[in-house]
Amino acid sequence: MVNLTLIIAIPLLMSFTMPIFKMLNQKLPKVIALLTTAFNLLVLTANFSQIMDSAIIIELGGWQAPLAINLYVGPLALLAAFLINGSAFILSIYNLTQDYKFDDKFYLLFLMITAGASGMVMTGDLFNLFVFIEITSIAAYSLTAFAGRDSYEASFKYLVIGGIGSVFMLLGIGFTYSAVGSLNLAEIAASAGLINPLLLQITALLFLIGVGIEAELFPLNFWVPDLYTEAPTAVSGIMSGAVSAAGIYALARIFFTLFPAQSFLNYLLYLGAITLILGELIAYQQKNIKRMLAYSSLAQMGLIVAVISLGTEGAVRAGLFQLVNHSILKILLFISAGVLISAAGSKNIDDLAGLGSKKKTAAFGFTIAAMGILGVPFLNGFISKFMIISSSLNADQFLLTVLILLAAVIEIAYYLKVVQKLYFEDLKIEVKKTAVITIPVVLLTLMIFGLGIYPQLIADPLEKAAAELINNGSYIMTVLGGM
Amino acid sequence: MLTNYIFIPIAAAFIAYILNKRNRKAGAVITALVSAYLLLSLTALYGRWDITQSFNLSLMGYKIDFLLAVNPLSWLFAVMTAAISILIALFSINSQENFKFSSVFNLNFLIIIGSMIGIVFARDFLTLFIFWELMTWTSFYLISAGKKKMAGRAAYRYIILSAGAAYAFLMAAIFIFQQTGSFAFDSAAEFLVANSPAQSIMLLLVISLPFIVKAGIFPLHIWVKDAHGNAPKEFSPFLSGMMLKIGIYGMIVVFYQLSFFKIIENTIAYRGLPLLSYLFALLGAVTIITGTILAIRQEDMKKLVAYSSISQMGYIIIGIAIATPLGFSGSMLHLMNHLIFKSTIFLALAAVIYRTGTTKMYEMGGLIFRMPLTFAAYLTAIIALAGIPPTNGFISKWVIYQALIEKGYLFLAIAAFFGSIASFMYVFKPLSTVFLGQLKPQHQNIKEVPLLMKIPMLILILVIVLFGVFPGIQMNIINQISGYLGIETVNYTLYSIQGANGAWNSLLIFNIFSAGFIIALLLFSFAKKSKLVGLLDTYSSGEYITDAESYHYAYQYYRPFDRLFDNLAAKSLTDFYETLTKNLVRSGEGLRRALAAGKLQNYALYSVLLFVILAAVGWII
Amino acid sequence: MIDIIYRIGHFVLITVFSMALGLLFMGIARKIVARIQKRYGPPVYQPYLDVLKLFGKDAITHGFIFDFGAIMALGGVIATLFFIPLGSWQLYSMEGTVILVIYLLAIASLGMAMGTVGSGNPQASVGISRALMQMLGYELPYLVILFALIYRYQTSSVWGLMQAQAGSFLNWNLFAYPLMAAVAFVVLIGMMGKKPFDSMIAPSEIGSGPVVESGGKYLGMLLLQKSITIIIELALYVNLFLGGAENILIFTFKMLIVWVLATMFGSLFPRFRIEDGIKFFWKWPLGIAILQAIYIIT
Repeated sequence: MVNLTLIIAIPLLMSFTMPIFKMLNQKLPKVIALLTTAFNLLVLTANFSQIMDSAIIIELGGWQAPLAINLYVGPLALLAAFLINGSAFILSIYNLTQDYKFDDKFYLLFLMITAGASGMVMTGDLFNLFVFIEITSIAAYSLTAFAGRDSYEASFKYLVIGGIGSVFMLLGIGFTYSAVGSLNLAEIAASAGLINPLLLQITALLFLIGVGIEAELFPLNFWVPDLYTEAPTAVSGIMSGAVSAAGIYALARIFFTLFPAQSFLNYLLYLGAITLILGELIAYQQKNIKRMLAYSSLAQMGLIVAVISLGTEGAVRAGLFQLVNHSILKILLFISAGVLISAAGSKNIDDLAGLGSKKKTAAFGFTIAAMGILGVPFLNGFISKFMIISSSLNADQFLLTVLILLAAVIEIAYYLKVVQKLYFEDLKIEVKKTAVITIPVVLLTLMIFGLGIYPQLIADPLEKAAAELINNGSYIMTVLGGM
Repeated sequence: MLTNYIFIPIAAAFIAYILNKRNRKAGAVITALVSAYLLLSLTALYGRWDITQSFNLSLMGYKIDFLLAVNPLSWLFAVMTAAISILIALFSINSQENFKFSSVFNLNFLIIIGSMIGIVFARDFLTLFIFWELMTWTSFYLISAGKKKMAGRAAYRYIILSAGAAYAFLMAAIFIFQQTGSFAFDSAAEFLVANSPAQSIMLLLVISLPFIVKAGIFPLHIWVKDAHGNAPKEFSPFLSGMMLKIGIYGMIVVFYQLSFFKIIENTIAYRGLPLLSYLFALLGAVTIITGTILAIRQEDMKKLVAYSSISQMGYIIIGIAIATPLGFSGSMLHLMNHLIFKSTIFLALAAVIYRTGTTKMYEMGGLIFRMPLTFAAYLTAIIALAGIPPTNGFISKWVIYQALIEKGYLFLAIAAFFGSIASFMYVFKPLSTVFLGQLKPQHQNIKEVPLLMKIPMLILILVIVLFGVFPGIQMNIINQISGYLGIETVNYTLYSIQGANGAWNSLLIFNIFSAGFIIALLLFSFAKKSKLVGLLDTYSSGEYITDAESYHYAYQYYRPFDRLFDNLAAKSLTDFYETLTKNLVRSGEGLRRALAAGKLQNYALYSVLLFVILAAVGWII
Repeated sequence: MIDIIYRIGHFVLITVFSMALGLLFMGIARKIVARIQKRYGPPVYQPYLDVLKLFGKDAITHGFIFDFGAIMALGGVIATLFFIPLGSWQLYSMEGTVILVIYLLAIASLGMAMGTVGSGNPQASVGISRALMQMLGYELPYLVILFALIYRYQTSSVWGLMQAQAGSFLNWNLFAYPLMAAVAFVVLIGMMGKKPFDSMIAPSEIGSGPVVESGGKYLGMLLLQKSITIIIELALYVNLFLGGAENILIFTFKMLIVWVLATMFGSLFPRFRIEDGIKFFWKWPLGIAILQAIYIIT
């Protein structure tokens, strides 16, 4: 067993020493980033069985729960941390073949995002959560701007909206502290019932907006398309694979553990549903492939939020599974699209025609990921689609089910347009040299098939994570149990 | 092991893909071998209707049983699939020499074969759905690999309609699953019968949606023409011959095994037929009429045959929907026969395309002297399609007529008569414009197709004649199916079928026909020998004929008739659906303009607005 | 053995009889039309001379499909003939159904169409395309009538339908269902390609259409085919609406009456354009047939 604090500490350490590594060797930052994320994955794996047994709580500085900042790593946090660090790992492999202009700074920020997002999911303290959100966001603002002129605007938009989000969040934290007198999540959860209902309402809404921005909820998500479109591929990948997962985690933690009220979940349900259908509708008519993926990403986040907010155990499980799939598939989509874009020298879908025969790996990656998202049998998306429909019908949400399926049809429409273009149309442009992405594509494809054919692989963690979310009493008990 | 029939082709698919990259003929050879293996082993399965296989899986907390079983109905469909695949694979060994996507073709084709067998062996919704999706997706890629541009659009339409319907199916299936705790057909049927009729009917209608789409039944037939017309030439026979039928298979499952007919038994009826069944039959009738009218208009021979497929599906639907023993038997007969003659037609056309490279009828002519066997195959097949005795196509139509007249379903009968008489028109069009008439100068040096492509056509010709004379071979399995589904059986012998108000005796008719033919032949041969002259040596009202091209009547062959339906054809359903999607696009665009126009201050405002609105909502509640 | 020889002899006899009768009818028709148009007209036996002459002449062919088409056309009608009861000669009419007869006739049409189009003459193609379109026009009301009759008498064999009208002449469908008989009469005119439904052969426009390339024995065979077709169609009408007949003489007489009437009616009207012809058939005959059928099935 290895101390889980290292998951946050090591990336932060490595990140700030990145300039030194760069001085030692030009190539070193890439390798360091890869090694760090690999190390994180190892640490998580080492703790896996222990956490599945019972959540690990680490009190920083050795103080008891309500007083000190504590880390809480239950199944849910473990799942999210796996997603975050896994995404970072895969993208680090991808980055090995990429050249960034200021690569020490790039990897500095990249590791910072990883650390921040991991911190978000592991912390047991509200203010600490805020701090980690800020770390993540600030790193993301700067990373976005790495793609040159066009990305500045996107970065600026994200900065402003993210700032507004922070304000809401901070205000919410203030209200909470004034009402409860503690910032420990378990403590707040335990005494949430005592808060004045009106204040509770306002506070919850403040959090909804603050965290909703990270979780890409409508109508707080319009910074997303710009960002995903303009940012470097690896950044789009980590944003949709890791940061949004962390956002979902934070949202779930706040509305399941802290303020478990049906009305808030209903808000989330409606917002999620609107995000879903709106995202798909807009994605359908995009001509820019990255923008299309961005809107599709939004829609998926909406779907996940909506399904999780159904609040039943099955629904939460389905939502979490979809989250896992979303991370895997979107990263694959983004890196394949990235290669296709640089091969064509254009982000326009029409210019990608015929690339299937030239850029075989990337086109294959894109296709398999698209089919995964569309829920073709024997791929992972099929299982989660099945679970989602099942749980949403189980919750008597006919309309939502129909909406989800309708969205899926629209999704088919725009993804297949690209796939057809890739394979069945004639090459129009001169193909440029691009990076090789065989390893990440193979890894991700294996995961897609693995989860599609044998989903039991992650059945246990999912079940435990869902149980943890549903039952906030046990969370409180575990953290405060010593008192 | 029933799984063998499913997974051997699927596994072979990948092998075929890899080998085909090295040798262009390898894929087709493997496909042929695998289908031959399937056919042989399926033959061994005949009569063993008690074989079942099941897997229990606890999937993400859901307890799921995957059930496979073989019964006469599924056996028939499996055999049909395997048989036609052999012929197509044989045909494509040579015909795909210059086909860019031949690896993709064989990969997807084998997966389709496997998944179709999976579909017919499935005894529960989830297994059915999984293989159904697999088939849909692979066929999407196959259709996409066809003619440039149009094939893409066609495949696109196909997948969207199919997927929408399949999702609806999944939703209904999961709904039933939650009520009964099982996906199995048997328990679903029990539940549906016990459940409130209105809900059961709704559920079953939703469940039959994907089958309606696949069978190309009005008003969800819009994908058929373009998909069949533009798919790779070797895939069209399968698409038209087999994949439309799998929709019918699904309908039979819904009607009989999921007790749709039992549930609607006591609802309002017209001439003893529940209105809903009558509605299905009427859909069939409309399908016949629209398919026929549009087929007559086509200038592209593959599209013409595609529309004809749509209309022929109408017959099958009518027969099944009226649910009399004769109707059902007629439908099943027609189903088999349509597979046989339609794949013959498509293969003959594929041979023509292989040699000429075009599908436009007016760009060809006079090919009969260059490709006589192809012509013979086409001729035999269209005689069957038009339902002219003594071929198999007449028998099945005759049985369906018998069923319609027996019950006095006048309007269904009119549609059936219309479709049948008008089919003379559309089948004659390619005959006249492609095979007969003047040979185009650029086609002077065309040769008959190679031997491997001839063999499938020859086999099919023989099968058409065989079943035309001995329909009893088919009736044997059909009666087993009827017995299995609990329908009364029809009396038959090897060469005769007993109708409701008359019998069909094919041997007698075959003999008399031969007699008539012999008398005419004698008369012909006793008369003076005639002198052979060229095709351009004809009566031309005194004009000088300079080139063959302008002396060939092919374009807009039935213009006067088409004029009658110009208005109807202009109002196509396709346009309606296109407008729908266009509006969808526009709404997406409008939403994006309104909300996400790139104004940062708006984005900031949204967050505040959301807070205010939600707070207000919370306040009110 | 004797049985087979007897049967073959029977076949040949009936075939020859029908050919002869059909040719005679054609001669009569030419005479009638001539008289209506105040001409003298050819002698009634002119068609016999024509056929004999044609078989003796040299002919040209355009390839095997041209030969095959002619054989198929004649063979098809000869085969069809055996399913129609002619007076007391019932032949195979007990076993074949009336729908079968309609479709068997199509073999002959297909053969003729294929052979003549195979000549490569576009005028033949135009004629065939017109013929097929018109066929869709008249077959539809005809099949609706057959539908009603079969439903009414619960038998579909021609013999059975004929027997059902036995007894008094009031049982004849002509009197039982006069509207239907009228429709069938109009359809009969269309089937036989008489004016006003003769746009497919329109001699002055498309050089006699289908038969434009046929000469010598080909035209002879097509003439014979035509003559048998006339007999089949008339016989069908007589059997279905005039109660058939006890013996061949009365039967021939009835056929002759229908034939003369049809010829006279036909020569009164100018030619329909194709689409007008179809429209006419679908408007009046089909409409009336449907009404009558609804009356019968309810």
